[in-house]
Amino acid sequence: MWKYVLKRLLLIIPILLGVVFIVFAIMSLTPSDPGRLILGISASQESVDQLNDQLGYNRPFMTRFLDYVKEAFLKFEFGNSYNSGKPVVREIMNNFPTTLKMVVISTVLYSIIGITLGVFSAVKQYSAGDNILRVASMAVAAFPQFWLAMMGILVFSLYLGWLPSNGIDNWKSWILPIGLYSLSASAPLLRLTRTIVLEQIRQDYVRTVRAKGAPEKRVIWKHVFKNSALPIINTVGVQFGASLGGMVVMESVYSLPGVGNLALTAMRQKDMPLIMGCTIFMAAIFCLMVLVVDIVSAYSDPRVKAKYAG
Amino acid sequence: MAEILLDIKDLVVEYKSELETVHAVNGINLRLNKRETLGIVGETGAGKTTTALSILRLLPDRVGHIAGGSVEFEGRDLLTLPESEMRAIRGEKISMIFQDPMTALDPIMTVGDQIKEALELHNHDNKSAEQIDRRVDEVLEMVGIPAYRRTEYPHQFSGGMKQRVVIAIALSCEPDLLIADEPTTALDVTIQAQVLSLMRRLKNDLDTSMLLITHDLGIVAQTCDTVAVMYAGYIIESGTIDDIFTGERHHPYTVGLFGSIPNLTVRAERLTPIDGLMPDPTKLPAGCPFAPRCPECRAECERGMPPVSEMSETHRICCWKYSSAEQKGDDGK
Amino acid sequence: MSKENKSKKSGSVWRRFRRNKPAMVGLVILTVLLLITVSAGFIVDYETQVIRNNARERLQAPSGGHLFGTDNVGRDVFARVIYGGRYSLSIAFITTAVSMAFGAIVGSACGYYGGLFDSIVMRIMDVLNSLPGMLLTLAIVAALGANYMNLLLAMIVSTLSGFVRLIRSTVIALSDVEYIQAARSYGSSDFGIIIKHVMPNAMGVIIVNAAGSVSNMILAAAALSFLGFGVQPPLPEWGVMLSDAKTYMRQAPWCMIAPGVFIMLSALSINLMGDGLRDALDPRLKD
Repeated sequence: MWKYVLKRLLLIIPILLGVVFIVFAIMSLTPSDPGRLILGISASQESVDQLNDQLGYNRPFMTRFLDYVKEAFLKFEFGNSYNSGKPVVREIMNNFPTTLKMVVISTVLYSIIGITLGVFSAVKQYSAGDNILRVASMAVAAFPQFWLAMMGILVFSLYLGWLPSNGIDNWKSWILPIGLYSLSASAPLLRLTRTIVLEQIRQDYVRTVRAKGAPEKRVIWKHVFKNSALPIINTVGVQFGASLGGMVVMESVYSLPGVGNLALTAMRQKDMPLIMGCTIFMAAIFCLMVLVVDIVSAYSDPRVKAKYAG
Repeated sequence: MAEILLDIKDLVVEYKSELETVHAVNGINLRLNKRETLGIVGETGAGKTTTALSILRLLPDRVGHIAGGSVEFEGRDLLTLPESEMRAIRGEKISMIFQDPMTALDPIMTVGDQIKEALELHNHDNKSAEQIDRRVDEVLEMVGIPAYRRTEYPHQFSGGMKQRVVIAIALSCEPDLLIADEPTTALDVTIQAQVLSLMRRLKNDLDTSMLLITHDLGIVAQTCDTVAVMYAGYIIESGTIDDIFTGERHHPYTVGLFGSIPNLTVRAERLTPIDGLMPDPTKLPAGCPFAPRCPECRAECERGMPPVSEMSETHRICCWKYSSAEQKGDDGK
Repeated sequence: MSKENKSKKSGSVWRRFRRNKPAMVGLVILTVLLLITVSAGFIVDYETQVIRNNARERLQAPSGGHLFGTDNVGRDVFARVIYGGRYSLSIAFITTAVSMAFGAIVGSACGYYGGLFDSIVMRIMDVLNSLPGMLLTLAIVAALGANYMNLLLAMIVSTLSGFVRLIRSTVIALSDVEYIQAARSYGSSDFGIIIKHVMPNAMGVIIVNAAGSVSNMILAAAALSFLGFGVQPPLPEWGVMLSDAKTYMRQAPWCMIAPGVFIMLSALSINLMGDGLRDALDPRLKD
C-alpha cells in the first residue's frame, strides 16, 4: 500500500511539470513586457528594456522554461510578483486561508444538503418530494453562480441591508459567498447522489437483503447507502480539489482576497511569476486531492483494496 | 393426508407502466404440502420468478402489482398482512435463493456479516453475540464453507461458493419454505450438481419445503414431488412427478417441452424446440395463449381460455383437448 | 443489425423522449430561445438599439417602450438580451461539437489501439485535466487576449480532455464486448469496426454527456465574459451585460434580471433535454 502511495506521489511530479510547460507555453504565445509592468508607465523605454534583459525575457523559450523548472522544483523558489514585488509564495499563502476556509465550510454544507436530499429523492422516487427536488435542483444548477452572487447582494445587502456585499469585515461577510456557493454546488451533487443511489437500489443484492426480512431503513442505510458512498465521496473529493479554482467567481463578485482572485488579477496583468505560482499551487492541490480520493477508495472498497494489497 | 403449507389461489400479477400493462401471472393456483418440493417449469418470461416474488411480496416497487388472489401460508393470507408482519416472515419462515449468485450478495460486506444480519433480524430468543457468531460458523460449515472464511468478501468467492453463501443466508433461520429461483442456472454444470445435492440434503435435514423454479427437466425429475408447468402466466398442467413424467395425457405444450414423452428415458434432457415465441404479455390472445404455436390447435382454442380438466386426483390439464368431453358444467375452476 | 432495426431503435428513443414532459418543455424552451436568437436581427436594429449609447434614455425601468428597461448608457435591455443569445449559445454548441469530434477521433483511437499512442495522449490529458475549474481557460484567454474567437478556442482546449477520456473508456468497455470481437474475427477493418459497431453503441453515453457539456459551457462562457476574460463590451453578451449591470445594481436592478434569466433558461432547457435523453436511451426503462 505504501509503495502505491509513494508511486502515485511521484507521478504527480511529471504532471506538474506538464502543467508548468503548458502554462509557460500559453503565456509565451504573445509577447509580454514585464519590465513595463514592474517599472510603470512613466519609466523610460531604456530602463524597461534593460530590466527585461535582466529578467531573461529575451532568452529562448526552452532556456527560460528549464530555468524556471530548476528554480521551482529543486529550490522551491518561485520568484517575486512583478506587480507587488513580494515573493510569490508569500502572496499565495496570504490569500490561501480565505479560499481554504470557504472551500472547507462550503464542502461540508453542500455535501450534507446534496447527499441527504439526494438519498431522499432516490428512495422516494417519483413521489411529490422527489419531483420538487428534481425540478429545484435542475433549476439551481442552471443559475450562473455569479448571477446568484449578484442577486444575493441585491436582495440581502441592498434591499434588506442584512449582510455586507464585499470584503471581509466579520462573520457575516462569509454568509453570502459560502451560502450561495454551497447552494449552487449542492444541486449537481443531489442529482448525482440520486442517480447513484437509484442505480444501487436496482441491484440484486438489495433483494437478498429484503428477503432476509430487513426493514427498509436498514436496507437503505446499511446496504444501499454504503455501496453508494464510495462514488459520492470520490466526487466530493475531486470537487474539493477543483473548488480552489472554482471559488474564483465568488471571490471576484464579493471582492474577497482569495487565491482565485489573486490568480485572476495576475492573469489580467500578465504577472508571470504569480500566474505560474498560482497554477502550480492549484494543480498540485488538485492532484493531491485526487490521490487522497483514490487512497480512500482503496481502503474502503474491499474489491479495490485487494488489488493494491501487499 | 399431507398438511398444506402454501396455497396460492387465483393469483394475478401485473407490471404496470404508463404505457401498458404486462400480464405476468394470470390467475394461477398452486399448492405445496409440508416437506414436499414443488417444481415450476416453463420458458423464460412465463411468470415463474414473478410468482416467487409475489409470495414474498418483493415485486419491484411501483411497477409490480398484485391484482388479485391470495397466497395462504400456514393458513394466513400473506397478501393482506401488514408490512411489519411480512418482514418477520421473510428470511425466517420463507427464504429465497436467487438466480444469479454473482450479484446477489452485498459486495462490501463480509459474507459472515451478511449471514449474521439474517440471524440478528430474527433473533427472538435474544441470543448473545457469541451465540450468533457460533451459529454463523455453523451455517457456513453446513453449506460446506470453512468457518474461517466468514471474514472474506463476496469477490473472494467463486460462483458456486457464492451460491453456497446465499443458501447459507436463506437457511440460517431454518425456514419452513425455501423458494429457489433457478438456483443453478448461472453455475457451471459440475458445480450445479454439487449445489443441487447440497440443497436436497439440507432440505431434508431441516424439514423444509421447497418451491423450485427451473427450466431444467432433469433437475425436476431428481428433486420434485409435484410439478406445475407455466406458460404465459398460466399453469397449463400440474400434477405429481409421475403424472407429468410418465402419464399418458398431456398438454401439447408439455409434450413440446419434453420433446416426446414416451422416449423420456432415452433422451431425458434433450428438448426439441417449439416453433414460435411466447405471446406478448401485454397483449395476450383472447383464447388459449399457446394456440398460435400449438400443433393441435382447433377452432375453440382461439375463442376462449380452456377450463381446467382433472385427469386424476392430482393431475390437471388446462386444454380444450381434454375438456371437450366434460365441457358442460365445468367453469374452469 | 439491419437498417430497419436501427431506425426502429431510434424511433423508440424518440417516442420515449416525447413522452417525457420535462424534456419536451426543455425542447420547447430551447427552440423558442434559438428562434429568438436567430431572428434577433429582424426584431431589433443592431446599430441603434444594441450598440449606440443614448444618454437621454439611460437607466429607465421596464415599460411598454423598453420591455426590460434600459441600461446605464441608455441601450434597450430587451434588444441586447435577444441579440446576446448568439454568443453564449454558439460558444456552447461549437465548443461541445468540436471537443466531441476531437474526442471521438482521438478517444476511440486511444481506446481501440492502446499502446504508446494511448499512453502519451492520456498523459497530456492528465495535465490538461489537472488545471481545475476555469484556470486553463482563463490562462489561454489572458495570453491571447479577450475576444470571442479566443474564448472559443480556450474553451475547446479545456473541454477536450473530458471527451477524450469519456470516449476512450466507452470504447475500451465496448471493445471487450463479444459482438465486437466477432466482427474482428471475421476480418472487418479497424476503422470499419469503430464506425459501424463501436460508435453507434457509444453514442448514447456521448450524447447525454454532450448535453451536460453544452449547458455547462453556456454557464462558463457567461462567467468568463463576466470576469472580463471573454467577449468584450459593448457586445451584448449576457455575462458582459451582467458585468455592466453589477455597477448600477442599486439604480437599475432590472438590468441584471433578464440576462440572468436567459442564461438560466438556456442551461435549464438543455439539462431537461439531457435528462430526457438519458432516460430514453436507458435500456432498463424500455417500454
